[in-house]
Amino acid sequence: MPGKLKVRILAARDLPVMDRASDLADAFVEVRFGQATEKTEVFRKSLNPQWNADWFKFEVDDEELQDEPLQIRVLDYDTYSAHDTIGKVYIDLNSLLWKDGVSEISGWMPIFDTMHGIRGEIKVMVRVELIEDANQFRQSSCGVHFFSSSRVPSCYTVQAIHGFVEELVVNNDPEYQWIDMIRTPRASNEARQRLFSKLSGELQRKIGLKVLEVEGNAVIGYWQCFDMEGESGVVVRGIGTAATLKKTAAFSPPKDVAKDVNLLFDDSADASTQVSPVNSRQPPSPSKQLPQSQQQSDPDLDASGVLGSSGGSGGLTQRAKTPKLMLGQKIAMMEYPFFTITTFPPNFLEKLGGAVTARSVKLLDRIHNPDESETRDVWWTEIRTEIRAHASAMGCNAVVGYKETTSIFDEICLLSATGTAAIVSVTGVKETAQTQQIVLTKSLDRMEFQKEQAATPPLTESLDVPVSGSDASQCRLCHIPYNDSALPFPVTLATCNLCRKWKVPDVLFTTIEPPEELVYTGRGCCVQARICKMKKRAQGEINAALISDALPFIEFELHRQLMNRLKVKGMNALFGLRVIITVGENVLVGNAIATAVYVSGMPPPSTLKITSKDTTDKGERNLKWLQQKLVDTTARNRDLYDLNSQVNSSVESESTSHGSLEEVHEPQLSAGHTDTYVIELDDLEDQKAISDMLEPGLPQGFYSCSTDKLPGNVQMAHHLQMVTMMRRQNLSDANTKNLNNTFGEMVQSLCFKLRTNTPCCLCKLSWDLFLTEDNIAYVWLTAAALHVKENEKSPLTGSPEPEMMFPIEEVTDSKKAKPPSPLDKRMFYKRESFWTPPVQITPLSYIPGAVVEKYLGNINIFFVRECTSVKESGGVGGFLHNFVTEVNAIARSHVLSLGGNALLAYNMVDFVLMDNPHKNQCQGLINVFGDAVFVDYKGLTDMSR
Amino acid sequence: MDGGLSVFVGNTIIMDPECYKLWLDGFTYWEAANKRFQRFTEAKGTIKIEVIKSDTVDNYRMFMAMEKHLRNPTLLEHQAQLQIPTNLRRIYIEQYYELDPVFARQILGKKLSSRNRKDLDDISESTNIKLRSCRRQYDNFKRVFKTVEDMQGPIVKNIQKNFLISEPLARKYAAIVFFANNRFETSKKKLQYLTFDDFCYCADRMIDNWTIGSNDPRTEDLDADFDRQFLQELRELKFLANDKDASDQHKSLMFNSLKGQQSPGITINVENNFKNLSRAIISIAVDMIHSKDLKDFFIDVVEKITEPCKQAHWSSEQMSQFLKLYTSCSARVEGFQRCQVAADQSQNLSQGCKDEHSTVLLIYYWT
Repeated sequence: MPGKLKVRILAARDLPVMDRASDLADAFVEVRFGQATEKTEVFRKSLNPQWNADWFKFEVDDEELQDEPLQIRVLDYDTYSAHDTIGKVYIDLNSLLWKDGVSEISGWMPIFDTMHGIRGEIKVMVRVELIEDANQFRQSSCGVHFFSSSRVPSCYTVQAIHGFVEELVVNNDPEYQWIDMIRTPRASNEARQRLFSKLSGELQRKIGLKVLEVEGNAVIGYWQCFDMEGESGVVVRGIGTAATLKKTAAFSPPKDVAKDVNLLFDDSADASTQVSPVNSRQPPSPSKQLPQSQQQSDPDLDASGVLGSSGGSGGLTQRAKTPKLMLGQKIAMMEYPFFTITTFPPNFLEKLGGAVTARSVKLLDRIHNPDESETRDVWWTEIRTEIRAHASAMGCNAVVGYKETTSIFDEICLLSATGTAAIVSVTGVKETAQTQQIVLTKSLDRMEFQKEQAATPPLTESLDVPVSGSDASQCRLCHIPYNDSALPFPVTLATCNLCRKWKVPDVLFTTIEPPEELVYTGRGCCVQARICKMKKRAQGEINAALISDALPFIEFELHRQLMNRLKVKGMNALFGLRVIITVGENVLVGNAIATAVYVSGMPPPSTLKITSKDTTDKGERNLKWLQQKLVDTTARNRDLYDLNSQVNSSVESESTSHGSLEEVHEPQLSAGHTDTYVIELDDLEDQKAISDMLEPGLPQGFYSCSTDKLPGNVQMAHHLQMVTMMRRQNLSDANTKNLNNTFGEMVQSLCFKLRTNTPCCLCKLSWDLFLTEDNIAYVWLTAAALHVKENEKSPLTGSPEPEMMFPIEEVTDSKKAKPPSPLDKRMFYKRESFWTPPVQITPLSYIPGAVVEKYLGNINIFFVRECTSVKESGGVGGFLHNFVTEVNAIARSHVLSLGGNALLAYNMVDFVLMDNPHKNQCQGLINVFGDAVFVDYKGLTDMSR
Repeated sequence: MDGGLSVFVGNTIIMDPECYKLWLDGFTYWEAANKRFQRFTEAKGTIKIEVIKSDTVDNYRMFMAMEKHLRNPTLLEHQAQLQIPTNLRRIYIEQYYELDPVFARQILGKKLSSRNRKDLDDISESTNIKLRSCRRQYDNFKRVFKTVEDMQGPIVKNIQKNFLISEPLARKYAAIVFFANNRFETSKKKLQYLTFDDFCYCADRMIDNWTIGSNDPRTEDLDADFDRQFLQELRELKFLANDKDASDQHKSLMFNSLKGQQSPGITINVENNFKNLSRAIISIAVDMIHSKDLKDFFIDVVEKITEPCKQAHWSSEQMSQFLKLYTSCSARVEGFQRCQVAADQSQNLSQGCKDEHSTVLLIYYWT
């Protein structure tokens, strides 16, 4: 019994009117934790009741503390019939379990009702007194910190990174249980919210256990998803990177009782079957593929770490005895040497190979046993194994910026994993990645179809010192990790512009943040690619096969588009690449976004050439015209992104190094692949594709990137705010152009809204897509709008032919019409001065101009919202607007109650919408998570105080 | 409000001030979008109408979400749903409560009932203000009225406290509440020339001087009601008109003061009209105790004082001078003080007279 939970209910305000006669409410509160319930008195006839109740105390297991959310339900007392629910508050207690964390959760929390939204607020105080359980058989993992930020949190130093941790739990979805037929929508929504909250706690607890096993104390880059598999249930997945963090100031990492490795491993496996209702075991070792690895559970062998490098079974549970080094020899022992973080401590990365992707189409099994999560585990194991194989094919020992996603439609589930193959520093043991033998037998089950593709081009880093490349130890960062005589994929090599010694690829695609160590020319920008592909309607395996077959084409097309656009921009590397493929009834949508940048060390992109089989006069003229336009645009882009200086010098350097021996390879290598730069003009569609590339960019004063920071000579000055946007688009004609228009218009709208805030950068721009059964796409855009300062060198220049120009309309207008009142003046004035909101929400993992003082906890909330009067509340648009507003508001209030003022790495995922216009009804699901922090805005005038 | 589905949510709200104005003015989203587009094109901006449309929809949706809180501005301060920059909150509230003088003029003195709300379309038509805007303003009046109706203390302060609006605006609302509470007749044709601001001024003076709160800020009654005791005392003025001696003395006192300084024109005017004017002024004052007569206060003033003086071609300076003297001399009339119970009340009374005079003066001035 190692914990005491204390809850105090103080007051509520702005409650809704529950009694029509008196226009008041008789409210009381029910506090529930696990099976125990406590109640306050009824506070009669008030919309602002003051209970000031005594502390409610619950004696609980620490396991329960991790799994169960505290539920606070506000009800309206009714003498004769059942009490009416006003709403509920769920409080995740994990933040209170952090060892150096906050001591209480206290504040006004919005009362949320799944049918009515926010209905007033309640003031609560929650404390936990924890008696630590040192029992080695325990099932709890209190004190493990979870960070959504995909980097080492800024007020911690990292002592060790232990590698990939993952877990998934499976359960029935209450929405699809028989009981749902007879209960009210509210009851079923609440059952869902309660269950999902609990599953999320359970998942984190289990991941925490794994972290403790490797003697870590934190998970960074934690990413959690709910896969709504409909009839077959719900899968909650979490992935992250286990690490040992030390607080920069005074922070003592949790001490773990050293245990016998084998014993621990056995115990945990056994215990999980006995105790937890939902069993999730260690992922079964991929024994089929790697027969040797099973025998390698002997720790002695691990030390040698040669062959086992890619396949030690249960590698995560086997610890090196002294994890003092950042990674040490452990990299070779990791079952999956994956890292979910995207920004790395200095010297962690050695070389970057390129983006790797694996996808797999699965049929959701109709017969489903919720106590068995093994099927899903096997699925993911396959994918991970494949990714690992791709990485080692590139001569890399790890995958960084790793992420797993799903797209579920009906009974089809598309699993995707993506990351960047890289060599990460291994101190001590000589890396043997090149000699690894990976045997991957693609044993496809009857129901399984696998599709994989490695999105190709590799990359290189250049050094932070662009001096001569004589220093080999600095130089190794920027060179290809693979053998240049046995290239894993088609790539053109050149000599590094900075060191002029080693090979670099011509193009580099990665999923990580642009590393600080690299030297960039000019500044970066967003590039995007999109494709909408028709698919025949089909059922079951045939459907899965169809999708499977279509995937490579989509990947190829996206890759081609990205490549072409990158060239037109005059750049040579992509960071923060995110490719999402969404499955629909008879349509497949692929969407890719990345930040393009010119890495100084890599060769300048060659000019795109257009060829055409059309030899008529008209065709030739057309071709010429297009070619000219293309050249012009590229030249203009070079100006725009300030790329010129470096381009020239690099051309020079190329010519100077011409004589070197290494150069000899180049013509050979590139010979077969020149087509990368040639666009064949066969039909109208190709022509459209070209004109797409020529499309003018953002309006003047706007920048964009898919990463946390815009690489290049731009400085982020101030966080304006996070924006969320959604549009609906009918995709029944599978028209890529229409889809492009929608996306384009959304960005335009966003710029229009932010027009008074220029110069402005849309950071972490990301798209999400949700497809319904009738081929309606819900397109989401999220971004952080940042105020930027350009470095002096390049003046602010917009796109030369912007599609939009924003006159300063209000100011001139108001002058014309009438002299602006002092009120108007104030309204314009405020745009100049920055207001710091009580809670800043951002998808970024930092806030420019502010310093994170303290990480307070991980916020992770699942929302269900339903409306049975959609028309009256402004249609689906009004419903969603309210919903998202409420979600943000509740997330903010959780941050405030922890004593924070910002929410970092905020993500809104797993959006589902069920729209039923005939019943005037609509249901939406959203899952949000992020890191609650307290930040100090240094040097910023805080107008809120 | 369809036009494709478009949703926008920012962590802190983004509102277009121009769009807010259009919304407050009662334009539909469609009208507003077109207007905005037009202005953009005029200002040489290049932009797709779709962008403006969706932006307008987003703005309108935001306004509607905010309206709930705007109706209860104290709530807006602590509500968690929308994050609004502190300095903007007050501005949004202020603008939401901003009123159209033309419209407010029509409502003055009317009972703020839901029946009258139904008749707003007529006012909307005659004033050329969109019905939606009329409704919003009417609801604002009604809400403010309901809230402060039974409150103690100074009315302007109460309004400011509960609705977080600026003092000048709160004064306007105080006038509306005051007029609605006392049901002054303002819609007669003869009063049409008076604007909302004129009445506002009158109400302001009346609240300051003739209500219970005006004498003693600690009194626990409402500012919107006349001080009954004061009205009662006003009845005592009767003797100035009825008592021949007092009336004559008053008259001669005035002549003496006038002779010293003014052109003969006014003297003659006063000579001819003093008796009638004095009688009119006093009868209005005396009758104020009857609520039926109180309602007709303004019409009486116009009919019995303003119009005769107009006919006599008094300039507003002359009128002002006359009233000033009329007040100051009345205080010196023998026996005037005799009827007063206490000195402060007498002061108060003459103060009251003075204000009545400034009111009258104002009414006159605008003729």
